[in-house]
Amino acid sequence: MTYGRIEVQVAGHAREFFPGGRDRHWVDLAGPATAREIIEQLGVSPDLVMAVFVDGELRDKDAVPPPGAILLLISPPSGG
Amino acid sequence: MAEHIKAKGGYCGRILRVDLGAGEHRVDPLPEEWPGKYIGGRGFVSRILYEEVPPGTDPLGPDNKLVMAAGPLTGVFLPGCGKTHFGAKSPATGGYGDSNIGGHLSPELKQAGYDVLILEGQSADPVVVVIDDDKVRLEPAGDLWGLGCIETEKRLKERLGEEFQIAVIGPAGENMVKFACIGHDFGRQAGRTGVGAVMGSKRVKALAIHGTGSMPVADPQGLLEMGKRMYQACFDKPAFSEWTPYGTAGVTDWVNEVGAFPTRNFQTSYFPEHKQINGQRLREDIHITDKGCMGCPIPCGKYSRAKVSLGECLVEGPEYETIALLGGNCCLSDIKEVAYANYICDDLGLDSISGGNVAAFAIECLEKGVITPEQAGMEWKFGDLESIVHLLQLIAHREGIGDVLADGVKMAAERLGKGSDHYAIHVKGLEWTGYESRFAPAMMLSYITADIGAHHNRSWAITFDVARGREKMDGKAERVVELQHIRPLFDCLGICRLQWVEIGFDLEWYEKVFPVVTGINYTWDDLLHVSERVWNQNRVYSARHVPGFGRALDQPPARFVEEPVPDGPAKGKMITQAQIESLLDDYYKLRGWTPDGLPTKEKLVELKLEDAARDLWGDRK
Repeated sequence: MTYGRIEVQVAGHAREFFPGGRDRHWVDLAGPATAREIIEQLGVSPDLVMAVFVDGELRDKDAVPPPGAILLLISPPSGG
Repeated sequence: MAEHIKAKGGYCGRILRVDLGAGEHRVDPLPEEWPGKYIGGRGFVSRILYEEVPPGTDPLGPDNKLVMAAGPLTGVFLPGCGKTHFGAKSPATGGYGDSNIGGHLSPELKQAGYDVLILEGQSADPVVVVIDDDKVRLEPAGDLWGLGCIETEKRLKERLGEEFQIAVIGPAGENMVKFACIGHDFGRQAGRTGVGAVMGSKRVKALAIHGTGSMPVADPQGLLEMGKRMYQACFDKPAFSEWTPYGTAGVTDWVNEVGAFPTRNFQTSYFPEHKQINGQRLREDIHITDKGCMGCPIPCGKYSRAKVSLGECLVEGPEYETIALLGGNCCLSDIKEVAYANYICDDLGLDSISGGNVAAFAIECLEKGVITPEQAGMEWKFGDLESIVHLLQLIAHREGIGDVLADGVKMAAERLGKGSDHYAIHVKGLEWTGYESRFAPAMMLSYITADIGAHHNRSWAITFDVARGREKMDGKAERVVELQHIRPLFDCLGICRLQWVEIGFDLEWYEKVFPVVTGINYTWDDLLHVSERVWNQNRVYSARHVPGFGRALDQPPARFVEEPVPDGPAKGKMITQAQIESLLDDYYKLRGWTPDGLPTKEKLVELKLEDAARDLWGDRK
């Protein structure tokens, strides 16, 4: 039995470190989980992510996205 | 891969040479094989320096050449097509030097009908090089000599017309400060390796370029279709709307969170006040508007207005590197003060990266008794804007101790002695940029092997360290080599890499669009092969110009292997010298170089650099 599904979008170059190098992923959760835990569930270090948006709102990595949410992960820019 | 291919588009086929000593110019044909063999931009700069600036040349003498080159994708209907590449034998390192700049310069050069501009010799008096399509002339610039970059550009726009694209030097370039930059478009800089000093040595105050021709393209209709799709692909990326508001400044907090932020002359890697100088503060406190280069859908330029105790300024920036080096590294903890120091650098024509390094080095030298209070003339302090501005002014005008500091931290430490080389943070004479790497092996390797000295943009590998484990060494050298071919390829193509690296644009687009513009059917691997050729050519260039070049100079600053990070997220961390040597072993092996870090004869022949093979190895195998 699942708690809900989260769509994870990876913006920027960090996508290459996510499964298959893809920028969209779907994660089925057994219960509430933080953004940090969801990123770890995809096999990626949360340190790699610069910023997290939940349904378009800037949140920290300890935010818990509701079922059906879109979790947008922003890569760190490479500097000017 | 057949390199001797005649391009059907992307190139004007002409090189403009200006002999400043004779006051003459001529147009040479672009060698037919160059597009296939070197692509353009950085590749052309590399080849011209290799062929025309031999070992023994004084970087600030008449025999050095300042080269400006466009790439085949420069100026055509594509995202990020506004890039220009400058290069010269570097007065900072004595080896290969180049620097890239955005804006509108090279598109204008191509519209005037040239792929490359070469400045040769030295003018007796200050001049402006004016290029107006086929009409090329030198105008006296005595009235502009001594002016700042911003005022100079403003006056030239008024004198010649808004349609001219202008590149200028400030007092720092005139005084041949070894980290002087070339400014353009009121706040963009070709900042690194002292290209502004080379321009100053030739007594060229400015370039003014205007062209009315069209861009040569092999398949115009194909480009129109491809361009539309590439722009739409940018707009469709999720990062598009989140990245643009902050530009590169958005990374400031992240770099602190991972413990890699230059702080207090790289004594540590975490700046406790970083949230006062981050992208959010820039956006909310000082930002006026965004500003992009030609063809850019994701403008990273941020125009700002800041009022501080020393005055008020309008400045493009600060971008991340300036925040890191003038902010954290000099401990300025107010975004307005960072913006003001940025403005001072821009107007004086100083590279803000090296400027922040040298200022921080000088303050530490004063603290440690290497520089005396009498030499300093005031009590320089970290975190004090007045100290930083005082230092930048002394340096740009080579006044007092500024004359020593104007040669960069390596040469300054050699002159100051008293162990000050320990505080000099550089590789091969080029000051370190915005990523403190004592706990980032791939990033460290990127810096120590970059072809111009300590620079981040050849291989920005810190996220690879974070993703694959910062303690781990395995796979780091492979990643660095891969990035050192991909990232500089953009500089050969003449297009910005930010669409790829910042918003996740697919690399496959560039393989698809290259034949549409040039008619040359290269695969991605073919393009990377050219990039590898250019990398090796630059390596041989520096090996022939710099005594002792090779492994002995591919080394981090002493501080980074002698002092563990004292605090912050990377507290206690440090890469050992043994680990550095192991990384270099892996790296040289992957590159097909000797254990001393020189390209083997076989590797150079494989890359069709027969002259480099002969020059480096003679008849030896």
